[in-house]
Amino acid sequence: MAYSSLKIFFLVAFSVNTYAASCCGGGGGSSSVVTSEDRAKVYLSYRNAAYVYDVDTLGNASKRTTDEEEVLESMNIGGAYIFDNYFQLAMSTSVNKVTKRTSSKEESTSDISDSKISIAYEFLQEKYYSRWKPRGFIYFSQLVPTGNSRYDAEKPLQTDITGGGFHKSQVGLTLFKVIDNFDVTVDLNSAYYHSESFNDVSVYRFPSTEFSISAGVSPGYSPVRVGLSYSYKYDGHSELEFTDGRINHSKGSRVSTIGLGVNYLAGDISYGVNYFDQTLLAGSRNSSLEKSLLLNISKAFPL
Amino acid sequence: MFRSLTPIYFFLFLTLIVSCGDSPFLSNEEPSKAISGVSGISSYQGKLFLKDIEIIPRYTKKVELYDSNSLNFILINGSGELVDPEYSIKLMLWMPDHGHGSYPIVLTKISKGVYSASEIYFTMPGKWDLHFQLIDEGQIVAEELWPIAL
Repeated sequence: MAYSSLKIFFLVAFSVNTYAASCCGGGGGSSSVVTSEDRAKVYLSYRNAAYVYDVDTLGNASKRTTDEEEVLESMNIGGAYIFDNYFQLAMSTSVNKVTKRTSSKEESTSDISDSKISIAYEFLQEKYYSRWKPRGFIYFSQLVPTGNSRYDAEKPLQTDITGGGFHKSQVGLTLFKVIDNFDVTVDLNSAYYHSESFNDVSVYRFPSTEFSISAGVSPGYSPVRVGLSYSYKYDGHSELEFTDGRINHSKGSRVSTIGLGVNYLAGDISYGVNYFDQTLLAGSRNSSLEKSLLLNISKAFPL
Repeated sequence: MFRSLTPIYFFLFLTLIVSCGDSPFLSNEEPSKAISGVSGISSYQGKLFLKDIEIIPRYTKKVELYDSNSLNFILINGSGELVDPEYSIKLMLWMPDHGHGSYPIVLTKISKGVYSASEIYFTMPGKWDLHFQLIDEGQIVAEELWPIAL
């Protein structure tokens, strides 16, 4: 049972994700904290997302038609290494492909997206058995805007937007607990966007906050985990100051995401298939809503 | 050895299947056949002015998302005569709720007080404002917004 419990940790690392609207760089929000008893981890994931609804600031949703197709494909690669048993360092980067299509026109662009480096510390350690006390991690992530922002877009349909455009500093807290063959993960984080200047505009983007909860079960203590997740993200508004004297303000956005996933552990390799849907719950504001499929493969390196 | 590689091959096969062709989640909703565009494209009923010059715009055809749209507009004074503004004129698309613009609009002068704007790209559904601007040495001296919802 102890062996199965430890391995369950490894399966939940990618159960929670929140993604932003395509016009704003469409980024992921997973903390990538390693919660298993391993020394290191590398992973590769592929995501295919279609934007199917648009919600305005009042929550009115309109469904996209066959003449308004927009698909984001993302290939993400990363790794994490655990130092001194309680500190860990993680890095990741990705390549995005954005496709916009009508019945008569199509535009598609592939380019590198933003990159991230994270450091985490396990402040709530499991030094003795407790049925209720969780393991706790605090983490700090720094996002580097290696992708192309919407303020630098040059293509007519702006499919060359592959990143957010901002240096983003994020702090978060992850609580993780395994009880028998059930697991629960709770994550709360907040991000600060550093002001940036682009060609003819300076932008200050207000902070964002994200909350997520995930629960899963390994039936019969098998190497299969089935999980369900919920996440909520609030993105603050932006203030833009142009060189021609204009000042604009955008509105903030809110998105709720439901996820369903299946993971399979074969030795030290984990395979996962996850479905995310932003259209099931009400409450989203000022955003494009997507449905996506995430495939991921991870390999752990034991202590 | 082959048995341990089977899950990897299956996973790679699944990735290949999903990454080829259209997303499985795209909508099958057919676009509306209602005519939009021309004078009826915007719900805005008021008149448009840049200082004391009235702007009368018309899209040349039905406005399409993701397509290169174009419009013609004329500038008239209080007497109904075609006039050119004192400053240079510029058009810009802006999405106020999302805080971003679009591809630069190409403006062509046809004759006195008659202009044509092309390469107007609406890059996503939602509320847009078409900004008519008078520019003097890189600074905006007058601006009028013409809203449109797609």
